[in-house]
Amino acid sequence: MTPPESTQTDDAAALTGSHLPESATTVADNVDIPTQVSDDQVDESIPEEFRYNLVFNKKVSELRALFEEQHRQIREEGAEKPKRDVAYQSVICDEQLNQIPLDARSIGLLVQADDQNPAMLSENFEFSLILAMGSSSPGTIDVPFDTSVDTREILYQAESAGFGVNLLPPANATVINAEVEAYCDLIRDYGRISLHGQSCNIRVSPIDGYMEYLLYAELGYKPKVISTDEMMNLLYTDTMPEVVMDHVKACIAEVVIEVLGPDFMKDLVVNTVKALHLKDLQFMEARASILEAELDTRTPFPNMIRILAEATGLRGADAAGLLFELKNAIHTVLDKYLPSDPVVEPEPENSTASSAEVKNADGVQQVDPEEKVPAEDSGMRVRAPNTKQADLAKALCLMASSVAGGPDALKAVWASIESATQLDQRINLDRETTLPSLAAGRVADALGVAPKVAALAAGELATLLQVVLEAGGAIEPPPPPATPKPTPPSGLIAVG
Amino acid sequence: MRSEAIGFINVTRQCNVDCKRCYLTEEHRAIKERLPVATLQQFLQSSFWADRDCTLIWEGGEPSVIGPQAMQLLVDTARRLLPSARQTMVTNCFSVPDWLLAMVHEEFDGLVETTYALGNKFNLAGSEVIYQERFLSGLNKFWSAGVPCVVNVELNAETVQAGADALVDVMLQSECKVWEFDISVDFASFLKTPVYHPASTPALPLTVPYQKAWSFLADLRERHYARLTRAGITIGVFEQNPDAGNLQFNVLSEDRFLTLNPDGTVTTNPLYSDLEGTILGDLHVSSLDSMIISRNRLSRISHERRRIRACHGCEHVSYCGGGPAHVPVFDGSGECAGGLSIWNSSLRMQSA
Repeated sequence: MTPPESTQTDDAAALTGSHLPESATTVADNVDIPTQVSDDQVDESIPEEFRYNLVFNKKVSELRALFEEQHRQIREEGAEKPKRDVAYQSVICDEQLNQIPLDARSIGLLVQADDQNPAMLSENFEFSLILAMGSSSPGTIDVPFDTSVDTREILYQAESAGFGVNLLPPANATVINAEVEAYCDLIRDYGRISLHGQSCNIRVSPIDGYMEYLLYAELGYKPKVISTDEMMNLLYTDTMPEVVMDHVKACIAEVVIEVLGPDFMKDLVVNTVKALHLKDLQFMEARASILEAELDTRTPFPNMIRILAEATGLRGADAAGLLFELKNAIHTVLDKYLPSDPVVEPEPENSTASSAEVKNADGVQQVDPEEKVPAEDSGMRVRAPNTKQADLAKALCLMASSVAGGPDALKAVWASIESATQLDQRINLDRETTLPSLAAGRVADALGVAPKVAALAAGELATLLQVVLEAGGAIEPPPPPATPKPTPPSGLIAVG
Repeated sequence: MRSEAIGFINVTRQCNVDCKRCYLTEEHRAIKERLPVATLQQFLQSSFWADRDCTLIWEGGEPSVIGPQAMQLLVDTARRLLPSARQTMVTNCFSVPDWLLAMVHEEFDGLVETTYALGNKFNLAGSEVIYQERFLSGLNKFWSAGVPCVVNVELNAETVQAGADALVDVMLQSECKVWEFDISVDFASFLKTPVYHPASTPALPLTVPYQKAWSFLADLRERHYARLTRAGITIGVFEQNPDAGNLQFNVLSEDRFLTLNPDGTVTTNPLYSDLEGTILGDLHVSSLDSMIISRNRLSRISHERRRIRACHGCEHVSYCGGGPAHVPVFDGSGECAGGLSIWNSSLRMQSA
């Protein structure tokens, strides 16, 4: 497919793409790139955290001095740590990059050839790349148009560092001259390797920008502005007159068609749509797994909720709501008819009952279920002793004890329930270091849930009974975990 | 955020088990050295650990031989200096005292790992049988106490020779439900005649060709994995998928591994603890920050990256990463360190 007729805007978009978040950019004074964006061009509507300054062609030794000065200011003058809002591009590795300035938002290292073998990278560059990769700043490898370093070598390095590659055009190229042709050759070299197969997964500018532009055009989208990424504008758009840009663009088109074939655009659109669809599926899967994790961390009965959802067809959130409303309803009724003991000490500041809790003449507390109880009040309600509800629990336990044949017999019944529901194995079940019981397996088969879920849900159900038995004094609550006592070395080690 | 940093801390190199091909010298395994708290402090007070996820792995020798008080002091010191770092331990399970169980629960979030092989491991009196018995007993003690101790089986010549059936017997005898596998290296031979690549990376000899090691695993999967799965046993290498990447030890990790010896010397990979050519420096003489930017470390990272160029053209390279970086990608056996045949069959099964 042939690219559409060019316009200045199309040309620029073709080279730069618009792959980065919108940014407002200023260029520092020391830049020797011809185009500068001054402060007054900064779009104030862009949030400050997306604005950054571009600094080109600093030496590593200068960055070291800057880093030391920033540290001195923090240490000696109590200065604040600077914001990371400077993109250092085309950094010259005159020494190893051991420190990155504290204000560095990103680092672009200018390719440097080895003195002995110009096709290879210098050790300074390679070690600086490793150290830059280990920093918090993302980065690029900036390749000058006249580099002698082998293309594959740079792409290997970029790929292992996770850095993008910027192919830098000659400065001040106003006409198509030998330097521009050398730049086009460089683009062809990188295009042939980076576009071939799926092994190259890094961004190579401006080739990727051009591909994005073609995709936009195919989909009928025309960006309002040349590019939202000012760094790309500075590197490519603003430094090239139209005639040079058309030539470079034709060169990229040529290599894209050479590698991907004339019908590559159809494949590109199809693959892009497939990728979008896949991303959407992955997003939904990720969301589902986050909700699953939330269920475990934020609800006391996650597996009962899962079973309820499976059995009723309700969504997880609705199943959770159903269970919680049931639980709240039970508490509301119990609190209404068997209210907490009056709080004597300390004297509450506001002696009038809240609008949610009003006692009527016969002493039955009226609870308005619609009234929201503040968290601290709710906490107080839980902590306040409730002898009436405790008496109810005792009465229930007495009845159960009578049916079972005495307190010891009731304890034995509870022990068998505890064992059957694997209540004491919940942690191991959850970690999958203990297998669910056969009964849990059968429940799982019947309900269509995982055996682990069935086993854990049985335990969760049993804890409801456990709470009543403990409140009624039929069983003892488990003792708190004992503090481990360090033992002296056994002396069995025969070495040394 | 930078990639997760892993600190391996050899609290001692003394050991209560005699592995004939151990990466530590016999001399160090017999000396009763202990890591001083001050040395640990120096190790952890570095920008290397800042602004990133960190895991500290207590190792040895056998770390538990230093006893509960000394171990607790080191754990507390590390917790104070790097409060958000995860801590765990690699123990040989030869002796699992109660204090270690309590510490694993309280300090390591219940996480601990061990290593194992069917042969070439002895107790200090030279008994292979007693080693095997004590290992199983220690391992079972962890699992009975709810500690899911993962076993890394060293695929050494003896294990491969014994065959998958023998290993399956051990797996089913134990209560352990998670088993992993490591490539085996003959460190004893290397320590006798050390050979390094120009980039200070040791040229380590294998104990068994890749082809035999991966065939052993293929046999294990084909004939036994269904039964093991029914028994609740999981083997990570059989469950691997591209999304999770390669879970083998030391895949593209040279830049995020640092290992501290009790004498204050520092290297990258814990397997290099006693390999002199890899030592970055001594904390008594230089700071960790200066070791991070040392030529020794950077050239080894560079070598690790160049190493996987041998994988060019392999469809699995983006997630396999060339397998463990301390061994060559290819050994001439037709297989590779990353386990090409296992990746091929795993992906076939997942797409079936």
